[in-house]
Amino acid sequence: MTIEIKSLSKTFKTHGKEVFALKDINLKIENKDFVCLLGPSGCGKTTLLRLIGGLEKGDNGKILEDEKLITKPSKERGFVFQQYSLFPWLTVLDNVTFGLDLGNDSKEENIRRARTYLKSVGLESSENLYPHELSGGMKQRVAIIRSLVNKPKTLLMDEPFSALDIQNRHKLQEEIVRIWKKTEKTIIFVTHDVDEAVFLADHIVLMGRNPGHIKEVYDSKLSRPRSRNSEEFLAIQSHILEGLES
Amino acid sequence: MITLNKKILPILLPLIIIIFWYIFTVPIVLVPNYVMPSPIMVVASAYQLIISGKLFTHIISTLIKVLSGLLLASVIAIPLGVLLGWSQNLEDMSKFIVGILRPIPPVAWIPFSILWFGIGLIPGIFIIFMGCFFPILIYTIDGAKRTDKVLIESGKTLGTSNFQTITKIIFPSSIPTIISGLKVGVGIALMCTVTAEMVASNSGLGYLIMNSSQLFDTGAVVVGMLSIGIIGLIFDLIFKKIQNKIFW
Ligand SMILES: Nc1ncnc2c1ncn2[C@@H]1O[C@H](COP(=O)(O)OP(=O)(O)O)[C@@H](O)[C@H]1O
Ligand SMILES: [Mg+2]
Repeated sequence: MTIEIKSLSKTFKTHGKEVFALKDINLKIENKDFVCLLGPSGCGKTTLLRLIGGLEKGDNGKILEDEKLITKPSKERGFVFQQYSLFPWLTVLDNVTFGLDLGNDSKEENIRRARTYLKSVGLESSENLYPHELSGGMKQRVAIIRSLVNKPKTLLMDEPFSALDIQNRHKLQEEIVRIWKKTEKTIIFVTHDVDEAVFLADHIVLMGRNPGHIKEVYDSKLSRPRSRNSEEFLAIQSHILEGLES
Repeated sequence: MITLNKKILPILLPLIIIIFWYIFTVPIVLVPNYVMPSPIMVVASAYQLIISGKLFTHIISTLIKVLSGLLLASVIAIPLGVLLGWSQNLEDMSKFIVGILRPIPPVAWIPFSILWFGIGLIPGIFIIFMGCFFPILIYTIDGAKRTDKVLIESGKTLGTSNFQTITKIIFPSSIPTIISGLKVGVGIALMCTVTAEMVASNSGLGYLIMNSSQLFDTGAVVVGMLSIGIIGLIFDLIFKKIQNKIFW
């Protein structure tokens, strides 16, 4: 799924004041790319991701998905939110089948499919738990597969691991790379953490603020699996840091 | 300091009250018994009302009215409330009507309820409906509005239509607030029933109280009053049980 953003701008009006969140964004994301949107807080990363997700409307410009205008949310574009977003009244299993149950397939088939995904992230024994009984890392795993089970072409993720401790964050980063390789999705991943961006992405979109804009798109040739201690990793990391500070 | 058994604590105060009540109505008669009946008179009246089956009939009559009024109000107010909480436009549209109708005390509907439905079960049910409709509606709107935006948006990115957003996300998310609304509704329903039964009925606990007082049977008046209190208490316990089951 190719996503093309053309001269996109977005302002918010709050209390009569206008906040220029994004100005003249141009970006092309190819099918099966792993892209990170990286920048300091307030530079419009969330806004840009929400615009791609169809959760927000731009003032100017347009976003095309395979030449078609994005106007509203769709299950073709899965979204994992920064906040925990599981339905608290549903069990893990029912959360995962939520999207499938909106369609016409039988409940048994939906459960069977949900279980294979639960198994892939090691949550098969937690299917009857409720969200409040899960750790932060488990919640985000369930949120990820709740989207994936719908077979979206693109997965949009907004700092999904920012609330997790470092061990869990690293574990989930590895899992998402594994999922990306296996399912061949386009992933657009928002983060403010340089280390996370370098570990995950092949294309890092560096953003700046006031108003939100793209500074540079860095194409990383780092081979996988990636090691945080390798010289190349550290070199790219310091290059990106420089780019952000300039 | 003596430590009291936690189970005894709630019944301690009623016991003391009954003892004082007994002392000042039986050995020391402060006021005539038709002004303040003694506990013995109340027990005698209760015994009479129970073996004659009258108390049971009145309780059932009151309960039927309370439950059907509440059910009718819920069936209309809950879906409407979820809808109004979902759409700001619909809520704005209904603001004036709700704002004007809500402050009217349910008993003010008594004249019309008699004119439209005569005497019997229906006018009572109508007044209860008017009484608990608005609290249930207001609570439901409030619950629907407080649905976490991220849940609604999650639903949309998983493919929900507007209708599915309402039924599968906003409604379940509002259930705790709806239960609180129902709890308030039951209280008002009991109040309305008894008031309605005092004027426009020939059965129910309100009727029992009014009728007994006209016959100077103050013991039966107290039996009627206590029955209402006990019904209210039972409803409260039921709702507490339900609320404990709901964890979101
Ligand atoms: N719903 C909104 N209403 C008003 N201002 C907003 C809203 N969402 C974002 N903004 C503003 O837009 C700018 C970019 O925000 P955001 O996209 O959340 O940045 P980031 O995710 O990079 O931290 C900020 O100045 C923020 O205050
Ligand atoms: Mg953000």
